[in-house]
Amino acid sequence: MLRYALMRLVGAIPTLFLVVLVAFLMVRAAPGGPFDTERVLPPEVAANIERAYHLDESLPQQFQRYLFGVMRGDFGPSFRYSDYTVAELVRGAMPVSVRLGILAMILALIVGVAAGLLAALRRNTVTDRIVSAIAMTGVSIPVIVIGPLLVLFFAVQLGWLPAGWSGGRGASRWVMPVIALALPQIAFIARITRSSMIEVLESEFIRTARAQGLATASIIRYHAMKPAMLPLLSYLGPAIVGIVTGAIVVEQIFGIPGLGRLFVQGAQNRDFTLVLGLVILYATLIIVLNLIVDLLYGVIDPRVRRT
Amino acid sequence: MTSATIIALIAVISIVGPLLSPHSHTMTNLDARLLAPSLSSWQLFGTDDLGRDVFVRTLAGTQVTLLVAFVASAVSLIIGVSYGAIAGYFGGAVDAVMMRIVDVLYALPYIFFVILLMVVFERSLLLVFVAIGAVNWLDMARIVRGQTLSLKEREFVQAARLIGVSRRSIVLRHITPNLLGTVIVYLTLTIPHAILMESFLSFLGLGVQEPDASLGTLVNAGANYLEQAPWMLLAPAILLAIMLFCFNFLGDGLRDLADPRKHK
Amino acid sequence: MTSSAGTPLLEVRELCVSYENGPVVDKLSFSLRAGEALSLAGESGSGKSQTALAIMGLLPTNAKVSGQVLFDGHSLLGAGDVMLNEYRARRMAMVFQDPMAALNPYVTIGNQLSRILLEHRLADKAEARRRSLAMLKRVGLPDAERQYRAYPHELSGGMRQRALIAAALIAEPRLLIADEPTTALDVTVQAQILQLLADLRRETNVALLLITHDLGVVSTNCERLMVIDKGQLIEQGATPEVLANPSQPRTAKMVIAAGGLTGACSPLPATSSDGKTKGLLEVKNLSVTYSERTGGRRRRLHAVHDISLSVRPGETVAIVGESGSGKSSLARAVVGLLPEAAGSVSLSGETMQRLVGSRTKSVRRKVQMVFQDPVASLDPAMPVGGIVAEPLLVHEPSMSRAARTREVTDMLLRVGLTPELMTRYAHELSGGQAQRVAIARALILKPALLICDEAVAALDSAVRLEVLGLLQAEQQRSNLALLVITHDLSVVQQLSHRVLIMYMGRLIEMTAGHDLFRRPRHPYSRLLLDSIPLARKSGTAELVAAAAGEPASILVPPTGCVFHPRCAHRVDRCREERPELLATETGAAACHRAAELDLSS
Repeated sequence: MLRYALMRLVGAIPTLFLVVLVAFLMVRAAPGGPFDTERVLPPEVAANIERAYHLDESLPQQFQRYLFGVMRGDFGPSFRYSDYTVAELVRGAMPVSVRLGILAMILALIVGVAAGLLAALRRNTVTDRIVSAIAMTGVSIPVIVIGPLLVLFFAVQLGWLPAGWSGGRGASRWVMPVIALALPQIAFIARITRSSMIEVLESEFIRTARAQGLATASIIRYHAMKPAMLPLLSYLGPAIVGIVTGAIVVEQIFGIPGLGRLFVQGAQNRDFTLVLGLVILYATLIIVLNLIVDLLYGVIDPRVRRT
Repeated sequence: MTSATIIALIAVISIVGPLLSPHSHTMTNLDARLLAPSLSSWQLFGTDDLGRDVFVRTLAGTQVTLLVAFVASAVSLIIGVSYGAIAGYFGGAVDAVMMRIVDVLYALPYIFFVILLMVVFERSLLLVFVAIGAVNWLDMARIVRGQTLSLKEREFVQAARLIGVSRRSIVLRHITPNLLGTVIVYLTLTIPHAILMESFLSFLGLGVQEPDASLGTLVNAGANYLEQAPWMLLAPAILLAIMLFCFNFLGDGLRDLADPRKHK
Repeated sequence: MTSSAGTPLLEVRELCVSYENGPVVDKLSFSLRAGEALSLAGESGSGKSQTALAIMGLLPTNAKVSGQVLFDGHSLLGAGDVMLNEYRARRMAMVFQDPMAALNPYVTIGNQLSRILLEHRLADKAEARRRSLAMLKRVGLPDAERQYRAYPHELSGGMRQRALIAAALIAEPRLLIADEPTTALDVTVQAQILQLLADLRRETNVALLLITHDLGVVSTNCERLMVIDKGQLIEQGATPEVLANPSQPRTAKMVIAAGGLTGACSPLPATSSDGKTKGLLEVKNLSVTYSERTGGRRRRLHAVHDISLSVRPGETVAIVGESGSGKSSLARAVVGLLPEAAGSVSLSGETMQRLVGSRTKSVRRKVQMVFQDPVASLDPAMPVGGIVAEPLLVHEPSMSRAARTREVTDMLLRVGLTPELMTRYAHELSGGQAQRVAIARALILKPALLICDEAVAALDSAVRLEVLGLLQAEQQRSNLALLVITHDLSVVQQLSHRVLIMYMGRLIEMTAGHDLFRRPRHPYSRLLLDSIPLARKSGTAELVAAAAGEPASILVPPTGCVFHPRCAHRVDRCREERPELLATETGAAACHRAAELDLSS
């Protein structure tokens, strides 16, 4: 098991390296330098800037410098907000995003699993149909639609909740962003939970357990729960990606000063170092979380464990 | 089947609709800003902040969205199917190398690379097509490869080899027809993915650019005028949701149909 | 002895089970006394398993049931789970066919057993563990402590079935329903499990309802036999009488398929087996080696080890072995489907290259093959007409369309199919029809040698006899040589002129078919024979029991003779020295004691 974990960890390193390399090269391949503005700069100013950003070095040298910087947590200065380093901007925006993501994930898991189990256990009843229909709808409504719709109803029409981040304080301003972010994931998780639980309940070993006189509650608890949760575990990776990308939109809609908003602003301003740093950060985050999910899978499924 | 009909209907309306309306999707009219929907002036969904007709703009946006979806799916179909089939059929070292590449690419969070692409290069519709298609082919490649691999080991392919059927004919006559069902199912499920991605990019202002419209940019514009003109949000938002719903529903249905376990 | 005890333990009255497309059990009535053993036998689809599920209350919700099921006088049919759970495990228990699927792969064997006792409040945790361990020992698991902690995939097939039996008996039920308990197992392991069931019955006096398609399984364990067909009882009586004198043709076919009624069907004399005819197929020193990765280490797996054989025109040679013996690898290597194979294969003197692609077409068309799973061997996307015509397209491209259709039609008629089937697809055919299509495809090129890899193993006994008959007729008609790969000695008995027996990749005995049944030379051959219950001579149960255990892992073959760990006749030499395949008066055997042992029946 430990060996497996180590092997997977080592396996992730080339991927991370590739992420940094590809992202770096993409930025460097940009048509025209990042300082191609409308104004023509005096040559000595341009030279100064080039030196400050190490643009005068060869490409491998630049990459090496950048790579070592990244490993120390140094992503260089921001192109647009020249008073700040990328690391400083990220540090300021990170807490709110992390909190938003974790809250949404917890909400999605609790509600999604509960709804999915309910539908599976009451298969082909009205409850099941309602849950399935809502889940299908939920899967089809993207965050960019849900967010504004929530604002329209609960803030504009009903006036129950603040429309934006700055307009409210305390818990009330978290309600809509967390729900908007969690809703599509709730739908996905409910669908996955439902179908995998139904599949497990139809398997032969559940029939054996029934033949052994186990009550339904015991069958679910001791025989069905673990295998039914495995597909959900595999979905956690994509769910994390969904939450992270969804957060970009949600932060934009509600004006939350988090990583996503920083990212979009950076993208619109063509703030190369900021975007590059954030891409690497996001990629690392997702790769590491996926790795953890994989290892969890190995802990739960006895057949993976031994190989 | 209802889903397929609705999709076809939306596609037809999005093409025919703008031709019938007296308004154009780019024509601004500052005197007619944020007008509520009305039948009398043929402005069914009202007007936007620049006085443009929301109905026509929504349909124009739908056209773009559908176009992105189909082009992106076609890209993923061509790259994904051929890549997967080659890896699966040749197997061995070829397969190992090709799939290792896919594994590494798979671990990358694409959406960020697409955004990076959009930031770095001149934003254009073509780039949106390429970016989304290039991302979506991975799933298809994996699925086709897995199918090919298992088909290749099936006894009917061995039987064909024993008869003396050439490799080429085995791929064409025996493997391809049996892949078809799976490919169609996953293609149907790839389309909503592409639509989602395009609307996501456009919403953030990184996809389709003004004055062109896609459903994503329209939703974004609508979100800014929630209080004054909710129709600006509702029209494109609902249309987007309906389309996604229909594609998902169609894909689910086709998948159940193709699943032999559910036949009995 | 309990016939006067009043109410029977289990009584089934006019049981009917039906689904949307019709009834599967039709007014079935029978009863079972305490401690009695009854067998419910029938082909697939006869409704025998549905009957068992109806008794246990485990039918799917879309099944319609009527009639009565009385356990000790209490009506169970239609009762809810709460009431049924009073009976399940404690009064009646069930063992299923496929132990891999029937055991939960995510829960250890020990926890699956203990859970039953805990659920029914028969023991506390410590007591449940103690009793589970005792039960595992009792069903013959050699290292119960270890198997208690193991997950199902870590056990062999036989051990899994033992664990499933342990789970069924742990709450001391009075009735055990066993649904095809040995069908998924190798023949020698099957014999052990049947012996275990008989022993447990003697010790616990549990009543047994044994459900099977294999009448051989019935003979060791059940006093009474009921045969059902299409949900209806067609024949019943005391087991020995029904087996000796079946009154229904369907029963008779089942008896023949189980290896009983010897002489009912035997190989026709080979058309040219005078021993002088030149060999058609010559295989010399064939080996197949795979490299396997286990735990990061690369290991070489010798699936087939240095085997030579020959087949003459018009002759049937059978290769017999259990799963893992290498018999299928051998067949695939002979036709060139395995690039890993080493050695030489020649047909009518022409050497065949190892790779299929590089073989000349004229040689290739002389060897054809029929696979085990008839439906899987037909392209699901191609109609029957296309499948049978494909060989002609490849080898006779100049043939006109009309001529091709005529040939295909003739061929279909010859294998007993109507030409209307030409437009059907594989999934629309029955197993027997599909296998006939596969045979038609193989024969349309007029091959000299047909290799049948377990070609009848997946078929019901009646259909299987028909297909064997068809193969024999084709052999007579065109002097076709057959190389038959099988685990089933009854196929050998009915078809083969010569037999080769394989064990763990090695050839351990070769002999004429009838000699094998009269006097096998290798102890493993004897074990195989004794594993056919109907052919077993009385008093050999001990021998089967002595050969406890299952084949060792082929990754770590035993030293000396590969069979010695299971052999009842082993001596020290067997452990150290690998026996050569040496000639005997009837063939050849790889056993140090082949000359001295008398294994004849």
